[in-house]
Amino acid sequence: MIVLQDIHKHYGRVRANDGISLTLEPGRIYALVGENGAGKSTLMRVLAGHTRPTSGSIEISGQQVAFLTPTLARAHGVGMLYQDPLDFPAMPVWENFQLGAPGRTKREVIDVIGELSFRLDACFLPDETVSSLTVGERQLLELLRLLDLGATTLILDVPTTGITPVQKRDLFDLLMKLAREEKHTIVLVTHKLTEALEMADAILVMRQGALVSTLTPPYDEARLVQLMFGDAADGEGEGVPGLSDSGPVPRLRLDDALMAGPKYSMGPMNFSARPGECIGLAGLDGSGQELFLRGLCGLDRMPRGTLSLDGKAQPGNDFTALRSAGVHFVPADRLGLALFPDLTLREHIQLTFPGHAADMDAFYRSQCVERFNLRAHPDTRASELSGGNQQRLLLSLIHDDASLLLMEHPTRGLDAGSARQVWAHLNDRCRAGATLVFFSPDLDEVLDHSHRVVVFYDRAIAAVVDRAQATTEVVGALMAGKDPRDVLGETATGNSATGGGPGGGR
Amino acid sequence: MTDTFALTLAGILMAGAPLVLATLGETLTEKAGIINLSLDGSILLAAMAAFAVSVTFDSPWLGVLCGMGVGAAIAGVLGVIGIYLGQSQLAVGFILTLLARDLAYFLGHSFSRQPGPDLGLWTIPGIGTIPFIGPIFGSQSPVIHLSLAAIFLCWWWMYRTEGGMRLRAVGESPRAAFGRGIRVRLVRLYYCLAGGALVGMAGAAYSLAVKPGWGRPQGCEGAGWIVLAIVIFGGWNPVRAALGAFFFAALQVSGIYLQEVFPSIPAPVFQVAPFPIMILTLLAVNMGRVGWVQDMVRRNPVLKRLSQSWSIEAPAALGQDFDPRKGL
Repeated sequence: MIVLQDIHKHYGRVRANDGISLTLEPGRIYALVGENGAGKSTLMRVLAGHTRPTSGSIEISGQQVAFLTPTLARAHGVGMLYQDPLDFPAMPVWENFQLGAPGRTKREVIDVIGELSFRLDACFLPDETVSSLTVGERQLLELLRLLDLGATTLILDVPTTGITPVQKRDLFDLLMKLAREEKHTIVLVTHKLTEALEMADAILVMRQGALVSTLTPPYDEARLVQLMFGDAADGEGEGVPGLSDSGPVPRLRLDDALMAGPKYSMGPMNFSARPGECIGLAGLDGSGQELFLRGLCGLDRMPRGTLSLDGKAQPGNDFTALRSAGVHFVPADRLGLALFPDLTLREHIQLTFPGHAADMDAFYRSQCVERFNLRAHPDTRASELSGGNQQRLLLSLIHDDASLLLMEHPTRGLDAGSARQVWAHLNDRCRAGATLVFFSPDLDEVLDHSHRVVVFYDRAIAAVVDRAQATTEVVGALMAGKDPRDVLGETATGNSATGGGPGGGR
Repeated sequence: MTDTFALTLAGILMAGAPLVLATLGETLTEKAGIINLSLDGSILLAAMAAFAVSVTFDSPWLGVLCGMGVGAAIAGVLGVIGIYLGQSQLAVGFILTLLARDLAYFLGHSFSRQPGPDLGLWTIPGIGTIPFIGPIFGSQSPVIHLSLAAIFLCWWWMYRTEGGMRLRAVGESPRAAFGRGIRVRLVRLYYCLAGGALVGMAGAAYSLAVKPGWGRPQGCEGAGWIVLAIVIFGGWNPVRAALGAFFFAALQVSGIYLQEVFPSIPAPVFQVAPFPIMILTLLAVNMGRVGWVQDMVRRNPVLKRLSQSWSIEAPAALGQDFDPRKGL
């Protein structure tokens, strides 16, 4: 049993955890929910010994301590699984497994991996480097490692982004088994209420650094939403904007396009999208969707084939030429690739819209404050913005005449309210005639906001699925490599082979 | 003819020995995620200290130990300031290299142009008579044996021991290493010191064997900078880095021979030539990063297999600061 007493963790003036007391009992599954910045991850890091609380105490297996270190936490059987697996991508599987464990020879380690893999229905090649595994496999490897170290309290920080529905099912079955049969304590940090409702014996709701409530079954979903977001959470997100018939010329057209990134190449592909269409890309990490997006905007090369915009061929997908032709790319790594961390909001606007030097203040107000509700001061640096405000700033930097928006994970790290605002804006853009091609590791997001879903598997387009057919089961099966003919029926065969018919909608 | 060839090889081994030692040292340090730019000054100061001690105590091996100590001490300053006080490793390294160089010339002034002991030759009985091997290894400076042993030891330690695994782990992802209970900053400091000691040994190898004696210039100036390049050339792999060091030594040694063959070409050309050739070689080794080469490699299965074993990635956390108190 683990008892947290009055845990405070302050970062400067920010109170990430503000007096949290909590008891975790063995054999139970807890879901920890709350919006972004509610302090969930901080609390779990305190519990795993990865950060020291400012004040408070922890009672773990009868022992009272002020803080835990990774070594101490491990000695008491606490193990944490991060959203981005905290491993060593350049090193082989067996070394990743062994690092931090008591001394063993390579042969012994391989035997242990084999044994655990057999028990948990996994498969790993000990000498393969971890960078060639999918995120799901890396998480599973971490889980095996923690179990091998004797972890009896498992903390999983948003474990289901980037894995298929089937992998998720397996993971949840495994967690259920560990809790029920081996009396492990499981803490599941999640953004998805359905997961919490489905799995948890108790739902812990955090808000603004405090534990506001602990719910036990039967759950009242409306009350849970109310607790998490306060009153801001009313109203469902809208789906996709209507699609008008807009003539024969596609906005985007790929003919036998071969794309080549630093790690792999893909193609030849044929694809086209209409003005106003929302195209969602689905696929496990490294299946090709990242390269597809980066190839479309000219960040990765296209050695063969043609890319046409509004019927006009764009030779050799040059980034600058494409950009002036209306292609706009918004990367998931906002601070690293899209913003200048040390420049202020105003400077960003000045750089992007150089013609507005005279009426800067008025322009800034209309562009950022009125359209995007970006309430931060114009002299704030980009690095000081929250994830939601960074994304608002990025959206406000898109020129109005951008006709093809390419977005990597548009709502990465955003809470439900901000996410809804982002999608409302993107839908407005599409209504005005822009075409959106986006990728998200969150399959529900892809399904909710796409007219058509392009599913990638094994570095190729596996199938293009219309909205009517795109369900979690269908797309999930395609992502996992099921044959499109089996999943979609005979009609889809032609579609998948050419990677989408011309014009998109029929 | 074979004897000339064997003697040339012996010359390359000799000229390459200190380069190899310093390259291995810097590879160890960088593999742990720390960049030590103080190499050039460290080598010089260690060379001076090693020579001064062996003159004073008439014991060249004590000089080697002292050189190693000096190298480790300079690396220790960098380690404490860079790792524990969180300052820029690059800035501190640069300043240290200048400081160590000036200190070496200043403190070593009284030992300048003096006769002194050197490490001499090791004669291995029974080898001298074997053709080809004999002239190379039969009677040679011990720094060659040291450098060859160091290559094997470094490789073995890095890839075959638990400690080496931890070394690579802290250079790859200090956060993940910390999460697994590894004392990241301590491990980094250890390899900073160990790397510095090897660099110091390289300095001693210069003043006690390769270019015996002390003076201004000593003759090893600039070696530290080329070593920094060779570490990258070697892809942070001790064996490949050592090959790179010998390759550079071979260029230098062959320059001396070629000078005799082509007397019409001015001598400075041969002295300078190794540097641009190094850059060209680096370019050739890293061709895999160029787009059209990648396409060609993908189409050719033989090249593809080759490129996989030849890919070069820097330690992911090279030069990055890590403070466990900030947490993960």
